[in-house]
Amino acid sequence: MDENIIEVRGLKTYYYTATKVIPAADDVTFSMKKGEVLGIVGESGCGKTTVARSLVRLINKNTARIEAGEILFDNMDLSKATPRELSHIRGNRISMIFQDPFVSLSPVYTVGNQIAEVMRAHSKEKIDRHEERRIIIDLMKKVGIPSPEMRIKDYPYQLSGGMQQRIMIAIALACRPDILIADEPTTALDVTVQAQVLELIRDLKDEFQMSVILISHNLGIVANMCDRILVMYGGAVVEEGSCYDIFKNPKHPYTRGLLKAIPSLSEDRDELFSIPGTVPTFTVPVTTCRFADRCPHATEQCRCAEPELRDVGPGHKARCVFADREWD
Amino acid sequence: MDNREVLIEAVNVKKYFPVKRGWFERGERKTVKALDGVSLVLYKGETLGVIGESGCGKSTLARVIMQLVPATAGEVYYKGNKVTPENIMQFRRQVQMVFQDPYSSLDPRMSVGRIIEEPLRVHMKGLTAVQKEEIVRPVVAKVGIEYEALVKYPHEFSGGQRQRIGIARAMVTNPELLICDEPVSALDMSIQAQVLNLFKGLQKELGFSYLFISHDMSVIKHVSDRIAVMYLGKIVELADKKELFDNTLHPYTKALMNAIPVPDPTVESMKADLTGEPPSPINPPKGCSFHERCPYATARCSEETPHLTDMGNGHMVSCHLCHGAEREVENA
Amino acid sequence: MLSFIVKRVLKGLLCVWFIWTLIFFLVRLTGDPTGWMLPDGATSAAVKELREAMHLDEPLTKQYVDSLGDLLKGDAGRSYYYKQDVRKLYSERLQNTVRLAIPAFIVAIIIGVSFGIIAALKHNTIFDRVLMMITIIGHTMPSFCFGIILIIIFSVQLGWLPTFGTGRGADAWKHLVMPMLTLAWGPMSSIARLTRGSLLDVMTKEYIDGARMKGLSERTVLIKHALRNSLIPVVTSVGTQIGNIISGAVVVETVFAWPGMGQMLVNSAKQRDFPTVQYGILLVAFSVTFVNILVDVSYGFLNPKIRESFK
Repeated sequence: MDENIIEVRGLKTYYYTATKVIPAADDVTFSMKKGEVLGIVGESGCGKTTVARSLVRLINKNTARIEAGEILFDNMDLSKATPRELSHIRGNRISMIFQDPFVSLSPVYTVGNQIAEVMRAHSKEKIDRHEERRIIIDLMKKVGIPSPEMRIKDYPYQLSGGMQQRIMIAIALACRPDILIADEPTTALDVTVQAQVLELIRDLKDEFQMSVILISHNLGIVANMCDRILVMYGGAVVEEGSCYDIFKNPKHPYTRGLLKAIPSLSEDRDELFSIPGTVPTFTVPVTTCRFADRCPHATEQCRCAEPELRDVGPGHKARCVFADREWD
Repeated sequence: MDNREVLIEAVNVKKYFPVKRGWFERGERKTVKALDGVSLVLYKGETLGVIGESGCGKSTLARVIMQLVPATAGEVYYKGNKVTPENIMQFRRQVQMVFQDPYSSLDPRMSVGRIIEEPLRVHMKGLTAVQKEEIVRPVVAKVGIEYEALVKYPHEFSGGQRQRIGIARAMVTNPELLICDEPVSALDMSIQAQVLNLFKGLQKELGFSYLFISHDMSVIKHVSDRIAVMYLGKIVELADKKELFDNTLHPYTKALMNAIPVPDPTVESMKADLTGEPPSPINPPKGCSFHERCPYATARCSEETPHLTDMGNGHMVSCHLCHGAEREVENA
Repeated sequence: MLSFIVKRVLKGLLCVWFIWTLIFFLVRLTGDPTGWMLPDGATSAAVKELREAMHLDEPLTKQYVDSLGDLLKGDAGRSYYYKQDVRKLYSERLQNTVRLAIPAFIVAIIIGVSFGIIAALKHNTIFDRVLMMITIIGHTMPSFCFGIILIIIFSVQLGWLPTFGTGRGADAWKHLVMPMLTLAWGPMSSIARLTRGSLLDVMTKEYIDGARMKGLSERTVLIKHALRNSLIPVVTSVGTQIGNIISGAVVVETVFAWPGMGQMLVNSAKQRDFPTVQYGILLVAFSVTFVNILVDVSYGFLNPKIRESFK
């Protein structure tokens, strides 16, 4: 349980537009233990999806590049892996589910066919057709699809959103991966279906003994699902800690502000705390604290150089020069 | 409590959309029952929140009340007068709409100033430029946009600012009611709080009423005085906010509330009480539309359609089980 | 599936009948063929006699019912000009056109689709730009212009290829090359541009990343997932291209003096040779309808959502 399953060191993924270079993931370092659920949380454009996709090199070569860093997985550096090595990892050792299941399933193949495809891509010997069908039906049962014997011949558009996401999960788990990356897996779903799908991921994580990287903008989901959390802002990790630390003892002003900005179900506040300004995009090089322009506590010091991500407690890090202060 | 002035009353509003049929298809013409008999009252100065999952008809409700789509049946009254094609212009001046998507609801080829002025050109013809400026200037100040920035075009603004522009456009005719259809769901968390505060601030200052539609229970709870819960084209529960949360009656509302993930690791939340997904509004189930997913459903629920009934204190619910409980109380 | 095809064929026959009817009345609006069939200064009695012999004096409705009846019995009438059975008249001409049109059609599809794929895969490179420039020329330049340019280069300057006729035996292919390319050029350009656009669009779709995330090789992703989805709109457009090929054949056959039915159709329209025009149009309508039925059916094979409507 103590062994790191994946280690990311100094990952930099930059996007190139006609006029500027955007540090979508800037010096991201983290590691994940076996069986852990790691949350990456932040607003749109904070780089959470870029980090996840960089891990399996699923980034558009024409617009983005991994500039630096190591992604250590199974004695291999994925940032330098060959296409062959990557093919062997993807879908087999590391799987991914996406935000909108309807657009991430191919519209022209049956769902059974799409599950079979990933199994065939990674099995060494040819699987017998009946055996294959039995495994697929088993898998569909496991992800909670009613009457899988009939559904196996369905096309994605014939299924509801929740069922489509279950098929995506079945595809992702078909080869019993070590890591499941779930990129906003329930954002396209209704809240009652969201609860079902997340519960399924939680159950299957235990059954398959996987580690899960859960990317979400929804603090509620992260709080319910994750052991540890990375908070990202403007391409950088601004705070990292256990779920409890992040929600009960947040150190970075951004994390604190975000927690106060979401309307609560348990208490009534007339006015929400609001972080002023807009969500920024940066260009390289970044020479200030990324949050300085919106931070109520920012000083000259914050605008001189970007602060380090430093320890503020056991297993708890924050990228803020004042992280030790008690604010409220 | 009913001496409050009624602003909007919707009576048994229905909206059916015909389902397209191929040339050679035979049989009964199918319809989507987007709204299947919705009645509600909105009082002056209050915020009525409408919550429900996708396909429950909440957006159709906004559009039917706004008369953007004609209702299949039922009437909408504004201050006691039926809204008809003859008085629609007056109605639209008093009731304005704020849309979900701050990107597609603003014409990209118009300057923001023109966008905000547009309702004035429709509803108050013949204003001079100076008069328009006198109206627009305080409105944009209130929503937090600089007057000088109005020469710019929508793409030069961020999502949150565009939503402010959308709100300003809705405000220039000085309406009494704003119908807000998911106005913050396209916004980032930190921006959402800014816009929600703006809505509340404007209400305090100018006495707006809101019909506020959202799929996010915490947003609805934050802004609303009363809340209507919709499921498959019907209101299943409607009550004061406090009453709805303290004394939730309908099993669907309960499940909805339990399913919400609370951002607190020490609180148990996000429970999957319900199985399956809402059935298609093309073929809603017989009886109570929720009975197929309801953990407490009885034989009666699959046969007889329940009606929205006042359980006291204006707490309306449409559920045989809750109605039964009331009857038992009466008998005892 | 079967009922879909039956429905589609019935609709197609209806359409063909409608076109034939339209043409039947339209050609009769153009005037009277007896003008050129008799020498100048013929007496009105002679004209009347000829009109009676050709049944042109009968009311239109009777002519129509008779012609349709004959047609259904398999008799398409006799050509006024060539004085023989139009079916026989067309059989050789039709063969010539088919010899021209089918290779052109196949070349347009094969080259068009492969150009489109290459351009999309090499998006924004010199390959892409050159290919797209070529297709813009194909799109904008009228086919007779292109044909004449080919003649100037390959016949007049280089002397490699003959300029007219179908040729015989081993030399036949030489005769075919230029008319076929001229005919294929326009449709090929449209197909290439459409394929490129469609494939570029599909490559940005999330399910392509989904397929990559299964660990499939880039080749498999391209062939199995991207191509199949991107060909759906291409197949739809192929149906309209067959119309373009047939109308293009009329021009190309004239430029290259290719004795096909296009050429004959134009000539007989000029001569008000009613039975010949009617039968020619009927053949065209039939072939276009037939190809479109094929396209619709294959569209269903590519797109399961459409297949649903077959049931």
